[in-house]
Amino acid sequence: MIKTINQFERSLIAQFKLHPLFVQLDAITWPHLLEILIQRRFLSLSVVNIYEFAIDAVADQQIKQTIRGILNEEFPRNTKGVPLPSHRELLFQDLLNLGATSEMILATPETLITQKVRNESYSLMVKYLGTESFQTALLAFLRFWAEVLVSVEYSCLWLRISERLSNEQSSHKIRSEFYYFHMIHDSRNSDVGQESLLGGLTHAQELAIHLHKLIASEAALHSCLEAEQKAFELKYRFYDQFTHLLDQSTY
Amino acid sequence: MDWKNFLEALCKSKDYQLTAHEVEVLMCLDETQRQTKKDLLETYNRSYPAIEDEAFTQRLKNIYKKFEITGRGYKLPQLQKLLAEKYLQYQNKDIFFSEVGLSYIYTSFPKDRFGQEIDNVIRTNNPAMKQVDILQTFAPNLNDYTEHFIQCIQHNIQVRILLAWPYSEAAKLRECVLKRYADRSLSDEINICDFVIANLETLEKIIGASSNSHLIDVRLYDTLPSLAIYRAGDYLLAAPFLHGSLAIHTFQLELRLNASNQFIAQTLRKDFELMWQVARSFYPDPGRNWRNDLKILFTN
Repeated sequence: MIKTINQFERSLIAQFKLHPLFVQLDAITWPHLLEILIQRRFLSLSVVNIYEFAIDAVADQQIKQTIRGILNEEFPRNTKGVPLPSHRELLFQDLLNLGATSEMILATPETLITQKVRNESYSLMVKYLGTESFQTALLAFLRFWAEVLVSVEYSCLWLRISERLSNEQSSHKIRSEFYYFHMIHDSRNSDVGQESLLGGLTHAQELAIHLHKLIASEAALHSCLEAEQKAFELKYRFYDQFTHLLDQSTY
Repeated sequence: MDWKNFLEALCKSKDYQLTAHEVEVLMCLDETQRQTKKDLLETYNRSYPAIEDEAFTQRLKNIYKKFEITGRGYKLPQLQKLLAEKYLQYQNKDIFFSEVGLSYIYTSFPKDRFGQEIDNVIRTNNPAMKQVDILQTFAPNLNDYTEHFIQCIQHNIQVRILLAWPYSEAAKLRECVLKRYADRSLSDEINICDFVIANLETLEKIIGASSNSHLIDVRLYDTLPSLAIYRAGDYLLAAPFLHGSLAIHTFQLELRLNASNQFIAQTLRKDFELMWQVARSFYPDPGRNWRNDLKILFTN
């Protein structure tokens, strides 16, 4: 069963990377790239609601603890309890460093499609409640939508982002504090069931360990695959809205 | 351990302060205890350039004094008896604790003593001694030595600190063990991730306060060491990671690294170096959002 999941996930990721926008990302003008990233920020902001929902909905205490831990990382504090810039602040800072203005980021309205993707993502999680394998579906959706695909999205977008931001301290470029780190610590990193005791676990792997335990029946397997497919479709649709920008490129 | 090895170890022992000539005499003693003074001198003269009877007697007298042979009657049989007893003891223990460098066992971490040893390292002119090392999961006592470390840097002393990578499975396992088995006061509040980050915040302050901060070298590991180590020059404290308590709250083996028998010192040093090699460098740079780097240290 785990083999089926791993094959399915690898295939979804491969398909996702072939989205026309990612394939032709080099043809996008810089202002259009900023437009995409500003819309993408609305999904980032909605992650908290998605996570909070999952914390309240799941019954298993260990899963709850893992999800809570990941969510808390979004709002770091030092060990004296003093709040440090949250991940959403770091996202805002990355966008400024990429050339967006504060007004552009704050005043650009959410497109109808972005709003739809966001709302449908939330509604989908609500729909899982009461189903036989609701924990599996919730966890699979959460992991794929908020971690695995996020890392894939940022790794595709990084090709352009890295034109202006670096992943290291550099005298030429400012370091990305949001995109780069989420690209790494959200990533799938290994097949489900292949998480190593040594080295670190990404968020996707932390959730994968719980997911692995939940896939004990054909019904659970089916719920998992279906939730991942839905997450894929929603994210794919989000990027569909920008393919028209390819026609407006200067190339 | 045979008789010869025993005599060699005894001769090296700092307790007796034997001279080279006295060592030569002692090495001529055989295990049987039947040698007379005349036999002993003959053995000596066969093994070393011959000396006068009177000179030999003088050396023996010095040896008796150093071994505190003060009883009435012939002293040589008394020395032989004492050595036979010590040999038996030696065989039972296999090797002397002092020979392997074990100088004391504390019931918990000797805070002031370790501080004094760092001070000694700061004062020494011996370049080989200018090294301070710590291996811990997290060091609950790191703040006690903030000033020492700042001074170490000012005096060109390398400080190496090995801590657990706070997001490792190994650190989580250690936390689970303490939560389950340590006494309530500790298990309720233990949070290894926060405690390591608190250590890194202390190191960040030290780095911020020093101009030569490359001398503070921090590495993080994702494995499970079994001993905590605090080293200053040739002084070392080693304590086990028990299920029921933190390593600083249990017995501490105090060792000298320049011991004549390097068995323990070398084993601990080699394992520290191995961990140092496989651990990953981490620099809590005050000018950088290092928490982001910390999270992905072992992920890419």
